[in-house]
Amino acid sequence: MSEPSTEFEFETAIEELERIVERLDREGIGLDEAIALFEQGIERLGEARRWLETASGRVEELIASSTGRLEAKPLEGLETPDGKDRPDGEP
Amino acid sequence: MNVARQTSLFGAADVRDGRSPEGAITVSDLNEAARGALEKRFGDLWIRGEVTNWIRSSAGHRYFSLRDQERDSSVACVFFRGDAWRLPADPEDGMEVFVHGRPTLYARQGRFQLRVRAIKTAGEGLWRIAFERLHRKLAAEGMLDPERKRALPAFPRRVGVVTSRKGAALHDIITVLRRRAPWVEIVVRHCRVQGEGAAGEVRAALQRLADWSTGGPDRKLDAIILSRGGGSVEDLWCFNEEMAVRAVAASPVPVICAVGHEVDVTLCELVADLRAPTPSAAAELAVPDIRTVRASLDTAGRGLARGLRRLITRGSDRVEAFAQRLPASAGHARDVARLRLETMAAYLPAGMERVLARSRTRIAGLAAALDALSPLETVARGYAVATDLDGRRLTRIDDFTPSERFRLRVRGGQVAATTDTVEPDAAQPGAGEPDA
Repeated sequence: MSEPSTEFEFETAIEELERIVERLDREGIGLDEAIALFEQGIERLGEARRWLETASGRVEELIASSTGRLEAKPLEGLETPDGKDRPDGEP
Repeated sequence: MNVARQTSLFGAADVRDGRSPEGAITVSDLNEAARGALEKRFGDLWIRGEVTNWIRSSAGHRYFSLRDQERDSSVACVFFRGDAWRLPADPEDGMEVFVHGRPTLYARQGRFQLRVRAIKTAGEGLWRIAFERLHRKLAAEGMLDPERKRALPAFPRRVGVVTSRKGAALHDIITVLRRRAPWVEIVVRHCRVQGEGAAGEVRAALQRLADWSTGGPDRKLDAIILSRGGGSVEDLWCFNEEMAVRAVAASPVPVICAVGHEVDVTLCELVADLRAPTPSAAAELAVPDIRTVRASLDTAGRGLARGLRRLITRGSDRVEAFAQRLPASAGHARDVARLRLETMAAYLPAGMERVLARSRTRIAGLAAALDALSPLETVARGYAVATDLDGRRLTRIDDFTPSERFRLRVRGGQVAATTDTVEPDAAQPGAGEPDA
């Protein structure tokens, strides 16, 4: 089970990407700025793609401990999904 | 069964058979014996009649009379809580019902009565009544208003699931969520989804998940799927009980509800933010498909390429326009710049990441090419640029008029100048190439 889920804000990356594209589309943008934006965009795109293809969320069950505190434990009794069943066979 | 043969009619020892004052039996013995005989004789029966005097005790038991109106006779009925919880609604007075129960004797009072196990009405009777009663109440409170429905996050990271861990629904939901959105974290809270107390468990499970969700950003649930597979009206009933329905309405996390098959509509589904026909469909509504997400990334990538390409085309046009004005001696630089631009433009549409490294070099090349062709670079290379007093570039012989003042930008500064004579030369473009 990988842990990138809490680190990487996919939605933020997408929003940033959209902003970059929007700025690139603006009139009067300079070439230097455009190239910088383009590179920034490509980087965010790469990060987002890598995250999307590797992130694997946990499957947990919420259980109350003897003290009544809630704890999330790996769900047992169901086959553990490991990403092997991805429809397109990507890692 | 030797013992049975040795006992008397009333089950007491031979010495106390009630046949003589000496052998008198107690009232309790009598009632117990009568109860036993009754139950043995009749067993469970279906009895048709009209309900009257319905009373619900504080302990949850129901007492009523079942009456045969035509023949003006009635029988006392007791419906204990352990069985009566299944009843979706109390029947109305005078309602025709079918009672399933066993004739017995309430020993303490020697009273003949029916111990009821179940009550049925024609059609969906009581279920319909209960459903409509609560439906009306919820509607009056605005709980069914479409405006109450919250939108689900477009890109959920964590989804809660409330269902029985024994049911097929859980497996279906997890399978669909994993297939469509492998990044999603799934937090399951088990609860019973049928039987006595199930509605309370549904409520508790929803509350627990909501509590969990407030425990920090790495626990925040984007949606909760509340679900169970198909079953009888009775099996699905807890999803029509007020306790469960109100818990769905009160959930701080948006709820997607799928109970039974598509034809089954429960009140939990009606107050939920989203209703799905099946558990699998609920999972599909909860998360986007990874293929759709990939496609949106591809679109963003194309947007990047389009933006830069457009800019380069524009840059290319500018270079072209500038190159047109260059003297023949600049022809080589112009061709190089054009070639670079064309190469770049050809590369950009294809896989963006793959060409990034090469693009960078070429973009740097392009920037250098543009610089090399910009007026200041031209000046730096030893040329001068003529402009009128407003700063407009004078590039053609026609731009010059005798006696008119103009400026020359040369390396190190500017020169104020005046045109003496204008001498067009068909062989050379002339403008932009001063005689410095």
